[in-house]
Amino acid sequence: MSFVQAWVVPILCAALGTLGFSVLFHVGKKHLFFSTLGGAVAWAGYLAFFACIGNLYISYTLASVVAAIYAHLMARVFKTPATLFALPATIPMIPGEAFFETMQFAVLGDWVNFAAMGVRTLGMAAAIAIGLIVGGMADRLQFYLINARRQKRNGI
Amino acid sequence: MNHNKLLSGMLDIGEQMLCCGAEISRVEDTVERIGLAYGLERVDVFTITSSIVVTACFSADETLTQTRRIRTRSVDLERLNRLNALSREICQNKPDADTLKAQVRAVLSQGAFTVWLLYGASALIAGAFTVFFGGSLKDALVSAVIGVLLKKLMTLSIRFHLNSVVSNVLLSFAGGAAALLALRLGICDSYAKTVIGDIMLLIPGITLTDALRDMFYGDLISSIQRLCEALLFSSAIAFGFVLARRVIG
Repeated sequence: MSFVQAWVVPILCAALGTLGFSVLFHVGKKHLFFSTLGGAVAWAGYLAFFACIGNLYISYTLASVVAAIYAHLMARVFKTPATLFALPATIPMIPGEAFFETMQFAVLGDWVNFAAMGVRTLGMAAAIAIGLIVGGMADRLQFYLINARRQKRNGI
Repeated sequence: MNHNKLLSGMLDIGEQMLCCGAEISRVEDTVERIGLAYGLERVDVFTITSSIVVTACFSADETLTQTRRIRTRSVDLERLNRLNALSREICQNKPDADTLKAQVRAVLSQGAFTVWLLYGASALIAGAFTVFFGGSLKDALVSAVIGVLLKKLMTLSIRFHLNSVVSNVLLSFAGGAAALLALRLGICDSYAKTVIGDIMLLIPGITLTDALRDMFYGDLISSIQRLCEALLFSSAIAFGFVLARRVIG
């Protein structure tokens, strides 16, 4: 697969999809560019991690950590809640296709594939959730470290 | 100050934050913070996706409880941002209860959605995800048109207060049928790739992810509620698409 097919097209599509959802979720004009960029960054992160590690769930978790750190960074810059950037950033990773496949197997009564696909869907969703939580923790830790250093400098 | 009204104002903010997609923990945290900023002795907030209960202890012999029932939620991040800014301002300035309620109302009246933008966004999402999952440009175009159609049907089903499970089945059936029709006419290359973009528009994938996040945070009731909601709607959607294929394909 060429570089364009493997990297440029997916990342571009991820960004466009994120842009669409950002508009649907009423992200303000001021924040639209950076919320879209978040989706692109997270998906680029996922592709890179997957190329190195080759494990879907670990790559998803790491990419979500990246998404969360990005979101918290932007939240600091724009003084908004981190959700404003975290939700759009995870959009390309949301297991919509896997979730649909799972339920389609259920409707068709194919329980073997339902179980396999269901585990995959839940795993992806859990990986995103864990990544976001870990990313949020990293942000808080850094916040405390900065505060502690500042307090030390001010002699408190 | 009228304590009843103050508590009601605090709940207004919490309720609206929950309605526009804030996490449970953020809502609880915000309402508690506002209460403590007003010098309340103790504030207990319990939130699930469909309800908020706040008990505020104003003094040793005055404790008030109010609850709100949340029925509809739709993600509105700009409103969430404004409510968040407002809650910070309230914690600093501590306006009286009437001003607080007026400020919340002011936030709610700002910034409505632009309708054509929503259609554009739906088309963009459907088209982008079709290419994302390996569809051709022709598929993406058809998917985008169906995306606009689905958005229109979504608006209609909300206007006519259609049961949400029924409306999900109908929407998915319409989406699947339209894609099959396009395939018959030879406008698109692959049925599966064409519908995947529209599925992304409908499927409650974010609800599923939120459910798991709530679970890890320990908000188990909300988590289970969201999980059930996601399973219910996704099976309705899968049923709609399978039905379209059985009837037409």
